[in-house]
Amino acid sequence: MKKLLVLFVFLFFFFAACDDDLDIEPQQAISTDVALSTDQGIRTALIGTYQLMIALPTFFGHEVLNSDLLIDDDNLFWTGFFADLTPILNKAIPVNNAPVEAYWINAFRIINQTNSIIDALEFVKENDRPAVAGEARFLRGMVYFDLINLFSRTWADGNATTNLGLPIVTTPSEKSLANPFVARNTVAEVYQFILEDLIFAADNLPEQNGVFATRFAAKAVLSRVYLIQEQYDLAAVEVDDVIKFGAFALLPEFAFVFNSSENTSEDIFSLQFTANERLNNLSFLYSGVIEGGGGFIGITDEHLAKYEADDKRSKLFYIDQKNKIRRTAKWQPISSNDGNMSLIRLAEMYLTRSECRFRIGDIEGATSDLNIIRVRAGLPILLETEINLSIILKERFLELVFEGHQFRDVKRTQQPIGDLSFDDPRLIYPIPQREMDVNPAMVQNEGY
Amino acid sequence: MVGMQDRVYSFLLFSIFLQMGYSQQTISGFVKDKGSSSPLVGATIRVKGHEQIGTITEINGSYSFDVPVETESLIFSFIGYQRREIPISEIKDAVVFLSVSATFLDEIFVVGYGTIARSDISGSVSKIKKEDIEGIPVHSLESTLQGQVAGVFISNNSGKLGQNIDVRIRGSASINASLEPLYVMDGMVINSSDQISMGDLRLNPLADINSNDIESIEILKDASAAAIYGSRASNGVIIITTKKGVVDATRINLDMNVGWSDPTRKRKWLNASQYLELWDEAFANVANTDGQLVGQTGEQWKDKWLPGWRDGYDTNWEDLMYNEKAGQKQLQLSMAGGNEKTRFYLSGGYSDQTSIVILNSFERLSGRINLEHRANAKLDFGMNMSLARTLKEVAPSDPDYAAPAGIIGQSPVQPLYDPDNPNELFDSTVYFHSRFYIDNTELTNVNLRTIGNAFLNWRPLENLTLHTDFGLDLLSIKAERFYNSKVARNTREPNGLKRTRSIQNYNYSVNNYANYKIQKQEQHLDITAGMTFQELNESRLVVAGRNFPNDDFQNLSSAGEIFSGVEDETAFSVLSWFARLNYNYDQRYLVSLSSRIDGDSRFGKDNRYGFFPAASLGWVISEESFYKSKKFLSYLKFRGSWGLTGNTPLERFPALGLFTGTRYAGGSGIIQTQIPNPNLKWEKTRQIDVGIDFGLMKDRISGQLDYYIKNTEDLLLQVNIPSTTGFPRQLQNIGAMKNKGFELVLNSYNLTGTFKWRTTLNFSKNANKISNLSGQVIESGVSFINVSRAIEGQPIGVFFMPEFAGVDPNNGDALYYLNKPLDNGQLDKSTTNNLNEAQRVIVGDPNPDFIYGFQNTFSWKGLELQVLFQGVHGNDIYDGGGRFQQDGFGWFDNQDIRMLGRWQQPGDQTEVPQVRFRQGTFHSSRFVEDGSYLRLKNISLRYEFPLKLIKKIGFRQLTIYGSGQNLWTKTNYSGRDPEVNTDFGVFFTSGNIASGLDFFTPPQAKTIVFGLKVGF
Repeated sequence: MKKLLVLFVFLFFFFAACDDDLDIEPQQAISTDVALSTDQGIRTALIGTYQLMIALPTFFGHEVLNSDLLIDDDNLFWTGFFADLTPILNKAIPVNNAPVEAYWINAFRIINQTNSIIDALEFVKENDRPAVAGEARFLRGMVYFDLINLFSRTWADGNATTNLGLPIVTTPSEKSLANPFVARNTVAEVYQFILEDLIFAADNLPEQNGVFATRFAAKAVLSRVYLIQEQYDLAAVEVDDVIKFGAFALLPEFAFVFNSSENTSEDIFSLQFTANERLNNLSFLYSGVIEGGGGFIGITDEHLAKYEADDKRSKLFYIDQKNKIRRTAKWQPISSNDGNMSLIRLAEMYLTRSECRFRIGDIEGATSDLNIIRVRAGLPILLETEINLSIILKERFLELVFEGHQFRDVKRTQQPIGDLSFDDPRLIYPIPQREMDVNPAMVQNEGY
Repeated sequence: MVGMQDRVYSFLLFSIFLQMGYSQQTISGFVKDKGSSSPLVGATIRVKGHEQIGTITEINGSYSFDVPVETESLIFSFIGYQRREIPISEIKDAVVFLSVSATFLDEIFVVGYGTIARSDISGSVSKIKKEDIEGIPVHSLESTLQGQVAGVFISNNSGKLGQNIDVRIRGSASINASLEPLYVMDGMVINSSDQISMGDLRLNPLADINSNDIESIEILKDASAAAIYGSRASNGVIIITTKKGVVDATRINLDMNVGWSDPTRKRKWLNASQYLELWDEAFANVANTDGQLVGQTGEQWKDKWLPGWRDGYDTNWEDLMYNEKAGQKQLQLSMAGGNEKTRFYLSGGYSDQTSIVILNSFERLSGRINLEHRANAKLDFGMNMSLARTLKEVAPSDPDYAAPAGIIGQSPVQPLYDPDNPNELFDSTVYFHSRFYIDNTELTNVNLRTIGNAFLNWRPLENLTLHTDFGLDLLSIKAERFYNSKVARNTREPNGLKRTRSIQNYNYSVNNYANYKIQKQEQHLDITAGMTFQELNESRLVVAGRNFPNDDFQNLSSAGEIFSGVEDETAFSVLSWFARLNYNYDQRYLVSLSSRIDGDSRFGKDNRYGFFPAASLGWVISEESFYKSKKFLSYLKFRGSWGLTGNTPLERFPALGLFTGTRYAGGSGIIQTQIPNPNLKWEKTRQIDVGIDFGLMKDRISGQLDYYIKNTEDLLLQVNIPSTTGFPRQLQNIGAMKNKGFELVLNSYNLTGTFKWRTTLNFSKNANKISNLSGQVIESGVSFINVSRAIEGQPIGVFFMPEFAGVDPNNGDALYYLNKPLDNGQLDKSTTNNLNEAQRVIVGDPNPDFIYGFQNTFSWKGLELQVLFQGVHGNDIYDGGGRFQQDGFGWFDNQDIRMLGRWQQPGDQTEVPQVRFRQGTFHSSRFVEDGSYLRLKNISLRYEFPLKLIKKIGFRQLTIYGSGQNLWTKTNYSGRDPEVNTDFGVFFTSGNIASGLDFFTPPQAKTIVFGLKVGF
């Protein structure tokens, strides 16, 4: 009987001791309220936002590419079978197209991360708050700007105050869940929102910030917004600030600009690919198989015919070893890791200023900016009397091709793409079907 | 409940007092097994008419106790043996022999925390014995259940070895949580969840268990049987009991076999001339008037993309996905024996299987020690322990270019080997393919598995047993993936890549419970109550490196660069209390009540405890005095049960909002990875079961009929939310599902003389319906085969896509029904050639209408023939590869032979559209097919040599046997094998929805095995 008692006492204490054993905390993650309650937490969340931009596999790499695919006429061709990307190139996008859906989801995930940071600013040291807010708002504004280009009618297409833009979301997910069925704001409202973010960022970000966003990055994106809005004088001011800052300089050789694993003096803002995040999707898709890519995109003869003789930029192509197809060398894997993904570089600033100056009437300034680019490309300078808008735009095209600029430039200058007019609904992404399914307030784009 | 328990206690006390106050005499004797004459330890002896007076036998089978003088006879009983009533005059100091129960009613079932005779069961439990398992050449134990148990649907998904096997007991009751049953081995919950390996494959940890060591498998199907396992029992419980020693001379058994495997069926593709004919036609159909596409002629296209096409090759790539020699070797050596005090079972097993497909094999070395020791009549203890090393060669999963079956995308006009260098593979094929991986990769998983528990039973009182056990289930996995420089085309790593993942799982559990049995006249009461605690901890370390000096170096220490290191650790724990009461009155009225309280670390602090009760009733009408028809319907039992069970989420921390660490540009950052839901709780299933057990003609024919309804509520659902919130999904308790169905089991001894013939039949029908999803649309989640859906009012996983309407006879366009809802509620059945205009509709259901198994066993003297047919009926399969294999040359992929019937000229009536190069096609019902099949699952013939003959050479047993698996299959499915589901693994946000999908998936194996069994 005694033994029995001992055993029972043992058992009893065993149960009593166990409730604490149900308290198991995650080892490699922390809960939201802990994560964003300190100055350090918010700063690391800010760094995390950049990581989101490169880590989400179909985000930036594909977006720079996908917008080029959608707007392309005769420059590139698909040299493989990639069931989800070919419809974009063919301008016949199904409403459940996976890259489009992934882009939408991932973009709002980044927006949410910036919203979480902005919502928790009170925990940031008071002096640093404007800069932290500025960085978060820069990233948010930039992502919104890319979104609205692809999912909405462009600024000049119809009435921006009635055309549907995107839902403007400014709260972190915990709060957004309370009212999740957001409707699309108008294009004008979204542009206003983007401008507020970017102007705030331009006013509050530091001039130098390592590889992270600076006020010049903000100004550069601002200039893109103004260009689309045909506010050439405002765009010129922003670009002027960037160029005059002086810390940025064109590299002597065009070929040096690309596939660098360090920012060059020409880079104003680029995503960093370190050894841990090796896969730069652009390098993968554009490169030949033996050259370390997937061999998906070839460059047409028509494209090559667009260059003047002696244009050094026309030399930045190679015939791949395996399929003997012409590829661009702008995006190539390099031995230690893939190169950075440059999103803004100085050459764009000169070309933007050239165009703005020309449109405002400063032909002399426009010519000198244009010649800076031409000289580096090994081309003869042009005289003021020789230039016109289409020459400036063509220079812009040849300098920046395959870097994700063409979509905005084609839309704002209202060029046709093959048989399609610039405002054809097929040149706009559909709202992803999954979003239509879950949000009754969401409205689909025309043509889908 | 509380009142009931009070009454039970007072009843117990009362019965103890009753034992006093008789004039007595002492009686003693022995109880032994009639067959082996070995003593029966723990047999019960009771006084007839005074059932509260009794004793149990000691170690040597002896007993001695005082009985009232007026005692007329004693009742001897022992679990698994026939009860005997013997007049006291015949007993005095004599040996009483008990014989093993012959009828199905006396069969003993292992249930949670105890055992029960079939006659006393009022719930729904099935049992598979070792005789039904032995000799089936499978690599994992679940496969042995296929076709043998009503209500249990098993799918081996593909012929690849070592991968996950789907087990569904009474349908699917969850969308985002697990559908797999709980596995309990020798009393402990073991780690059975699929191991996701290297982000691609789901590997089966149950393959670490040697099925030759299994004595029996019990399947707890209804709530009253399963609810003792509470929050994890919604999908049913599978109880595995391993072999134990017997009191006998030491027996040594040796079982060895060798076997050969082939695919059940190969697919047919275009040969080289057919390929060229169709390709040229496809090109001509899209070329401009100059015969060009994008400025190039068809010849130029082929020269560029199909080098070698002019050289007359005709490669059959389908053949190249298979191993030339596939098969297996198995060896099992076991020793069992013991005496009254100590019993043991020792075994060692070796199994070596080569898959039918390349890059896949399975090897297991295992050992087992089961020991039991009886210290005295009141105390016994022991241990069960198994050790195993499993080596798997793991082929890439189906969507990978290097998956074995991915190779069929190549063009037949290209060669396998480089014509300029016959030792090297031809490098300019349309795609990279799996043959490159042979010799150039090392894709292995090594599991080290130890499952063991130590237990102690103490009977301080005659009827009271206290049980305690402690168990450990250790699983260590080392997964290595090495790719040398020759496969850089697929890996993008010019100088080699190596990933090594080391996983440590430890799962420990403690069970403490007490069992009290009492019998008073006709009343039998059996109470079990106790507690259990389990914790499962998993830690992972993943390291990756690249840039190896040359292809001979494979270890990470020689990597030029270590570029990734990940370490993480997760755990969950469950703390539970449980109680069960079984009561039967005169073997006529049966009552069973059980309940369990579970606390689970996976839920928020305020939501972590749940209560799971169950009850069942049984009435054995054939035991009633008014029952007259005993001659014909010799046994008849009605039973009914109700109970509540739960299902837990797969995630370890599903209730928390989480930020996870990450890196960027040399700095560390955090990103949000999950939004919180502090209100999260279990999925709850309420199950009702009514059934009949019957025996006809003195139980020559027996059977069971069950009808059940399983209502699952509070589904753990990855609810789609607007991704403008930052996340596309949140885990919530939303929705309800219903499974209802019936099961029939028939068991007939047709002939019982020298020539014996036994037939068993099982039939199960389950209807699944998602009754409520709160308007959610849940998709399987993988883009390139995202066709499966969970839709309210429909079974889980229906195929949802445009409906193919045939081919326009005028121009060869594929047509689709518009299916837009009209004002009258009908769907618009006019057709379009624009896929975007066609509304998606439900075009198929992957869930079978019914499944069945039919087994006949014939034996004559030492010869036995066993034939098992197994069938699945009414399920659909979606061939996701159709989009590439029947797309009329969207690219250069070889095409299914059926493409020969393509539309060619106006007026052609065909289901195959015109072939058009680079146009491709998309998901549509064109690729949905009926997946019903009937299969000769297993046939075995064995001959056991007569004992007289082999005794002379010192053998106790000598058996030769041959068996075949999957030798014959009847199906209308045009793919390789209808038992199919692709192994996308983690690519799906909900694998439960994605079923019945074929996507470059290898077929099942058909296997012939010859073996020899020797006993000493």
